Amino acid sequence: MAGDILFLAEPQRDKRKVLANQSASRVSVTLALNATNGAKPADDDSAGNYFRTVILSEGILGQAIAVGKTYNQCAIGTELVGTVSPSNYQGKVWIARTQSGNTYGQTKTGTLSGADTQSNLNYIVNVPTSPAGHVYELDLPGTSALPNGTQQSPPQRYRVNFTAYAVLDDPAKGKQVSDNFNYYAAASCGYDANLNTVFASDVTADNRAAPGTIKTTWNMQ
Amino acid sequence: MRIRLAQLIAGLLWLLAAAPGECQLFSCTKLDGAKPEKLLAYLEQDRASLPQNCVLFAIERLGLAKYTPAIPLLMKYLDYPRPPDPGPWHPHAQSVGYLYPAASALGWMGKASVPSLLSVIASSESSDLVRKNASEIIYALYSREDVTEGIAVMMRASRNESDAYSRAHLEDAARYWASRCPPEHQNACMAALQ
Repeated sequence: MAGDILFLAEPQRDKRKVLANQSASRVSVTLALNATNGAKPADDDSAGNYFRTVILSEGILGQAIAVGKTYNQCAIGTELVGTVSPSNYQGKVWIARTQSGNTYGQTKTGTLSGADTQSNLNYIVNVPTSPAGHVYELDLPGTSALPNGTQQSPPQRYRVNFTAYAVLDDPAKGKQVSDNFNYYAAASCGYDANLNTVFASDVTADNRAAPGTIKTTWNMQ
Repeated sequence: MRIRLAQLIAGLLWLLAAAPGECQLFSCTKLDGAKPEKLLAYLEQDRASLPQNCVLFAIERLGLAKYTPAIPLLMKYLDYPRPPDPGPWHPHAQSVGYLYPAASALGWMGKASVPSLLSVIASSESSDLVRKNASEIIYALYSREDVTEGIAVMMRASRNESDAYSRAHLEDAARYWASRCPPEHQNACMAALQ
């Protein structure tokens, strides 16, 4: 319950008097990931309707073909869910994260590391919902196929481990109020015969996001 | 040994210098901790002369502070992009708020930004990009509660507009977003155009 801690200022000699009092809350957050293929954002995730406008495929969470800046991309729709205790806490709770991973084409093409917290309102619910006390962060980690490529072009691959955690008040400097939550996103992307962007399925256990970690090599071995 | 120490220090300095650039939240040492009034004054300078990281930091912080006096100025930054992702991969969904951080900042300010956004859509002086970004913010804002309401808001503004071109710009924006509604809301979104 919010306000479950009460600070009292009492004079040393007369404990019957209260000079001042201030209530506070002990806030904690438990994180989870929803990235099941074909699933929808939670009903109380108010960012869900807009999130769908950048997705071209039927699926919303899990495997999704999404609008990229220049090219469509093979993305994994992820919904991080923070369950806030006490559930009636009404301060700001942000889901922050760090990332560590690599991208590949014919060879390694890039390294992703460091802080990865986003402040983009479009996909965030950072005031706990009522009555469930949930906060959310929707996202679409993934990769486009090789720009101007063909069906024969090597798939572009995205292999990233994330560590998410909840912080209060300020996404950059807030106090951490959850355990670290590890999850990963892996995607490989190419073209079909009609040059439509499609997931490449030549690597086992690819094109998904799930709790835990992966090896960030091209084939995750 | 001395060379190794120097290499170690150089490596640490490189790491410290490189880290903020990798962060999705923007950083700018000289504006760190600045109050919204100062951030606003900073952005009022000639934007071409300002370093990109500080412009983006100021925009982001004004948004997180929900500093509504900055709304008119942020309209002028609706076409100011974040640096492109360095490869074909996209760590984040490519929405207007990600690609153009002023859009995210205006979103944080909520419906207080809507009258200015409608004016920008209606204005003949706005570029197509600015007009599209402004209408996307309105659609995204209202879709949190009712996916049809942003469309209805743009249509109502269109009807109240006396200038034919302004009216057309607002109606075009409403029609575009009605066409982007989720399938189960398509009929309701089309009805909002009436």
